[in-house]
This record gives sequence, C-alpha cells and structure tokens, in this order.
Amino acid sequence: MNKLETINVTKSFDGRCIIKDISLQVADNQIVCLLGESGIGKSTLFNVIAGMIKPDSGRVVIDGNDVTGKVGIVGYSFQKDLLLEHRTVLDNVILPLLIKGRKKKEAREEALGYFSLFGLEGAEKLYPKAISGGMRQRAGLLRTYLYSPEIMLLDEPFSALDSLTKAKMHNWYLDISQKYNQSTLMITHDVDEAVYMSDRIYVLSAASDGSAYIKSCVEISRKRENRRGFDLTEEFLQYKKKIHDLLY
Amino acid sequence: MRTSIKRILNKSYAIIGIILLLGVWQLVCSLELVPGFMLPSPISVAKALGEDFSLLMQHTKTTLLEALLGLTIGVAIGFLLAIMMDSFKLLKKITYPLLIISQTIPTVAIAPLLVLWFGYEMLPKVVLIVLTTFFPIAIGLYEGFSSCDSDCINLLRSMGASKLQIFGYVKIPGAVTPFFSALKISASYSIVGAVISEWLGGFEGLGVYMTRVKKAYQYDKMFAVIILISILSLILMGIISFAHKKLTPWEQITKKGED
Repeated sequence: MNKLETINVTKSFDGRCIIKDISLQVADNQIVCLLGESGIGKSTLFNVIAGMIKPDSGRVVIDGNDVTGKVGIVGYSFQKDLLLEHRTVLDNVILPLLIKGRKKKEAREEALGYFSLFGLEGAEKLYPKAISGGMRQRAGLLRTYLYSPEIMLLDEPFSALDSLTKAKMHNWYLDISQKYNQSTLMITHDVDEAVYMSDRIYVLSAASDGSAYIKSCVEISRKRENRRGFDLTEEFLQYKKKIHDLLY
Repeated sequence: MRTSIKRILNKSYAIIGIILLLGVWQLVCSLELVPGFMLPSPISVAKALGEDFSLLMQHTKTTLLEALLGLTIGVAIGFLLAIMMDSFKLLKKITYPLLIISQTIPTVAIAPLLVLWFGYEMLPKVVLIVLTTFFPIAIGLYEGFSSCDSDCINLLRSMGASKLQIFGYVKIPGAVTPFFSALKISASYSIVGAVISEWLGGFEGLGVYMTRVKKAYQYDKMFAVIILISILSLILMGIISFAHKKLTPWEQITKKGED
C-alpha cells in the first residue's frame, strides 16, 4: 500500500491554475523526488499535501485515509532551515513535540536520543547562529523527523549548502531514512541530487496555460544501500540524460 | 582583547567630547562672553547641585515614581494594543490612524487639561506619561510582530500550532529587539513627561522644583536640575540596554561559517 498518495489534485489562485490533476504515490521507505523548474508549483503541491491549502479538487491520502486539508499529519521541512534564532538547537528541535502538548523535559529527553545520529552532539545548548549550515540543516531535519517520523516533505532541503556538505548530507539522509523506514517526498531543482537520492522521480512540466502537470515518472532501480559512488557510474549518467531530455 | 580595547576607545571618545564641551562652556563663562545670570558656569551648576542635593533627591523620588508607574502602564497598554492590532486587521485599520493622530497633540497642550480633570496629585501626571509612552511600544511591537518570518509561522502552522503557540514561539521572541528599542524611547519620554506635567501643576517633583527656582531667577539650580533629568534618563536607558543584552544572548553570537 502507498504511504502517501495524491489523487488528481488541482489548485488555482486568482483564476490561474497552478497545479493540474497531480497524482503521485510514495510507498513505504521510499524517497521520491519532484523535479521541475522554479516557480512551477511544486511548493503549492507541498502546501496542499501538508494541509495548509485546500485543493480545488482531488484528494490527499495517507495510509489509505483521506487527509485533504488537514494540518499536522506530515513532517514538513522548508527550503530554509527555519530554526528560531532565539531558541537553542535542542529547544528548536523539540518544538513540534511541545506543540503536540508534550512536557518540555520529556520532549528534550526524547530529542537528545537522536542528537548523535543526526550529527548534532555538542550543539544541544548552542544557538543556531553558532553552528554550521550543515548542522542547521540536520537540526531542521531532526525537528521534521520528531514531528512525523514516517512521512517527510522536504522542500529543497540541501539547496543552501555548499557542494561538499551537500554530498555528505545526501549519504547521511539515505542512511537515516533507510534505518528509520521513512517515506520522503522531496522537491529539488538539482538533477544529480534527484537521481542520487530517489527511488522515483516525478518530472513536472508547465502546460500551455502555465499549470504544472506530471510529464513523466522515472524509476531509479539502483538499490538504496548501493548508492555510494553511484554518481560516478555510466548508469547514473544515463538516468541524468533521460531526465535532461524530459526537462529540456 | 582587540575588541575590548576598541570598546574602551569608543567610550573614551564620548567622555572626551563631554569634557571638551564643559571646558568650552566654562571658558565662555569665565571670559564673561555671556552674562552669568543667563548662562551659569559648569562649576556654579555643580555647586548648586551639591547645595540642594538632598532636596533634589526628594523631588527625584516623586518624579521617578510617576515616570515608572506611567511607563509600566504605558508598556502594558502598548503591548495589548500591538497584540490586538496584529490579531485583528480591522481593528488595526481603525486604531492605527487614531494612534498617529494622538501623537500629534503637543504634551504641553494636553497637560493643563489633565490637571483640570484629575487635580494636582499624581493621577494627571501618570495619565500624561501613559499617553506619551504607550505609542512607541505599540508601534514598535506591532512592527516586530508583522516582520516575523512568515515561513517560520507557516512551519508552525503546518505542525498544527494554535495562534497562541505561534505568538509564544515566534512572534513575541521575534519582537524582543524592536520592543527594547521602543522601551528606550518610552523611558526617556516618561521622565520628560513627568517633568512637564509637574511644571503645570503639582506639589512635588523635579518639574515643581524647576518652576520654583525659575521664579527665583536661580538659573544655576535650573541647569542643575536639567542635568539631573538627563542623568536619570541615561540611567534608565542604561538599565534597559543591560536587560536587553542579558535577555537576548543569541544576539551576542557571531555567525558561524560552513563545515
């Protein structure tokens, strides 16, 4: 069964159709990427899935249940890490637990259990300004994970990082999502990132009226545990070429 | 080390400036370029301050009490107004222009009316201080609430946070710096407001002392009280700056680079 599914989701703003009949599926423990030009409507689709915007038509289904328009079900990580500068790293990551009504002490104890896995040990009492970009991003991802360990919506999570940190983060995220059996739907503009990390890539394109639709779906058959060095193979280049042909 | 030397140097420039100003002032008076009854010298002002010190402290107590009481109420009202304007856009549209208009009315014009309505005791003074101090707080906080990162608010909304939680976790902490900037302005207004209202009617306070010495043509004492008022305002602002620094440790951190 699919963990997350959108069925014919359509959304317009001020009479202009932004996304049209978007149907996609994310299975258990799958990483699925949405690839498309800037401003095509990927973030609108994420907002619909997160329940922050109601679609004009279509449904969002999680674990077989219709959750259209309901907030607080999936973990949503935005383009920026959005750590609150006035809270320490630990107090930032426990925010979703506090919102859910958990006691601060309890929430801190739970979060601390993940600090080493997310490469955040030693940063508990530091303010976001005092840590590196990579650590900030990991803190943001831990916050999303603590909110919803099962489904993560990541909106260009690594776009602000330099290429070396980004490469480290890709491998780290592949390991962690495998370990915790997470289902991830990720937006990216980076074809390399999409091919390296995904099990499936949805290529979005703009129709003549400007609305985004799914042009094609590319399955990446390479197993998740064999991804290291994948970007140096002929197979990787072939996937990349295929996607380039779809995009341009 | 270099930073602390720089900081000491920066402070010493201000002190040198004050010493220079006092030196020029004393020189102008000593050379009698301006008659002594019009501009008393810094030395005679210091003497006047020393002579009436205990009396001045008594008046200072009254002025400070009025100022702090008015400031506290002004801050509370400003805070409530800012929250209401941020929460109800219609209310903001109605009250914002009224707030601006309220600040165009000169304090000296409204003070006698307040004395007429509320008498010569503390109440009209506190009311005047409230009227002058709530405005910077309301506007500063409202701007602070409005300028909070909308993505942060959306993130919390996506987690199912209530309006109250969004206020507590994002908006109020995000408005701390504008709040303290506004508080500094309001604090100096509170002292000035107290003195002005005391000028126009009252039994005690630095404003009352000022009118008495003015009527007696004791301009050295008038200058002494002016300096005292400036010192009081500076102390209040210093306390606020200290509290700001202590309450916002994250602002003292310099940004770290990439891994």
